[in-house]
Amino acid sequence: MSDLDERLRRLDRLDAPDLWNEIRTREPTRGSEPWPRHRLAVAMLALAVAAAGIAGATWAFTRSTGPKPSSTPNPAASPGVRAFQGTLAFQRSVDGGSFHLIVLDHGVESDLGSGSEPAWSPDGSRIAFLWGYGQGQVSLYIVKPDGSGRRRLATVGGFPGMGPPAWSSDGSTIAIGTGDQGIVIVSKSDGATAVAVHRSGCREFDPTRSPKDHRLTYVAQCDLGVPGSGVRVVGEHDRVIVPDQPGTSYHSLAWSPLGDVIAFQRSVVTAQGPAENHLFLVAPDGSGLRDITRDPTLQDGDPSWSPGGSRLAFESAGKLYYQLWVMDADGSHRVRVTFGEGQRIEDSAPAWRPGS
Amino acid sequence: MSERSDARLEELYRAHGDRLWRALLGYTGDRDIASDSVAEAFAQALRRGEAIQDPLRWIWRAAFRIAAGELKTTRRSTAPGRTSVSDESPDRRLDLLAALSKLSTKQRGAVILHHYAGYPVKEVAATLGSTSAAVRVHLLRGRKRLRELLEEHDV
Repeated sequence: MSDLDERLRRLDRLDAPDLWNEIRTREPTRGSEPWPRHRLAVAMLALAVAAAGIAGATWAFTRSTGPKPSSTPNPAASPGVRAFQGTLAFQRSVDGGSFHLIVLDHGVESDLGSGSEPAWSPDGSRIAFLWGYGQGQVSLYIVKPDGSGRRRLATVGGFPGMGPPAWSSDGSTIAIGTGDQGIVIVSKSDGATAVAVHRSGCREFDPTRSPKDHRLTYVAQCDLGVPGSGVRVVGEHDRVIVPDQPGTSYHSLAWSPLGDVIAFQRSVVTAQGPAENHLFLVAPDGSGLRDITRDPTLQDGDPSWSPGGSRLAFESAGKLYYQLWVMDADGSHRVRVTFGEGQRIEDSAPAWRPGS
Repeated sequence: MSERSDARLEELYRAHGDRLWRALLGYTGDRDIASDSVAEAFAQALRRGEAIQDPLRWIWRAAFRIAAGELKTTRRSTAPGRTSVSDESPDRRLDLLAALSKLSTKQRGAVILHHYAGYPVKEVAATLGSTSAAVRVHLLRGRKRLRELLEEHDV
């Protein structure tokens, strides 16, 4: 097959009609809120039905009958993989199948079974992850890196585009961005939940937490008339450090282990081509905002810091399938880590193990 | 509506309208639905004027929501006079559109929004009313099916 991106670009050869005169004189005839909540609920329900395979896998997983952990040498081992001396957890889909959690430890992979959006505990002894999407809910699980000790901590309201959980610096709680229900904090010991941040008229998601103190950073998208959309930091005050802009959205926040900078993905809609998805850095006080993606054609996302804070792991979709890469924190020295495209494998949402 | 917001939206339409229409054509496979969805979304935005915080994002989501509703309606009763690309139209020469029409609605939406419009997975999920994990699966399965269909076509 020729490259799908090239095929899709052929759409640009089509002449689109000029609709402006019709738009100016048209009387709107339909509902006006993109995905109002009752429609969203219906859509989520439909999704749950459509994703019966995923749900079945989830059921099996919760009954501890899901895929057993296994360790195998990376079949796609390459100079890039061998050069990567560290440990990553990430999610993998093979040929469109449901996601499995994979731990890549110095070139050796372990399949931990079904799961998505992994996040390491601060001491590297546990991985929190999400699974069991459906009917507006999602479950938070934890598992040891060898695949043992899997257990469900809590089930909370889910939302479209839910990102990975975020551990507290002492490892006692895990934050989840639920959207309509705000940032929910889950106790690791007993699974008790409490809402940490939520404002009426806003949806909060993609939390990340300071490794040094109690500060929490998240993305807020608020309705018209409710100020404060953008990247926000909660400390003594809850304030915007990167304000929302038209045509721009923010995702996948990651606080560096040194506590001095936050990485995130910024998506900007463009008129002439695909939206640009670049990785940015910003200080917790909002200063020093900078783009570290050098190549405008690349689609980068989901950054995760190395233990020393000098490098970033991230996903990139330069050739259709997301694969994992690492680079220096200034955006230089990009090195590819996984090479599964030939096997129709997609690897995404990397999380770099602390201390590795 | 104010002249200022009118001018702002016309500027947005001139810059992004064609691309949105093509994305909707890929999503629906139907020129009439694509045109109607673009016109309706922009008309609603015009009615709201300055009340929309991020018009471009709002219009893309509204247009895809409207198109999704239209697809459901046309599935229930095929309206006469519709110009579907799966029929004998010049667009059929674009084998991609014919292949896209064989994907599920969710797969088609995910492939178009992510690979043509370039939206990140999370934004696609928000636009389609789905989850990131589900969108990734839709993308993978959609690409797999497209590959099979286009290889058949290439042969």
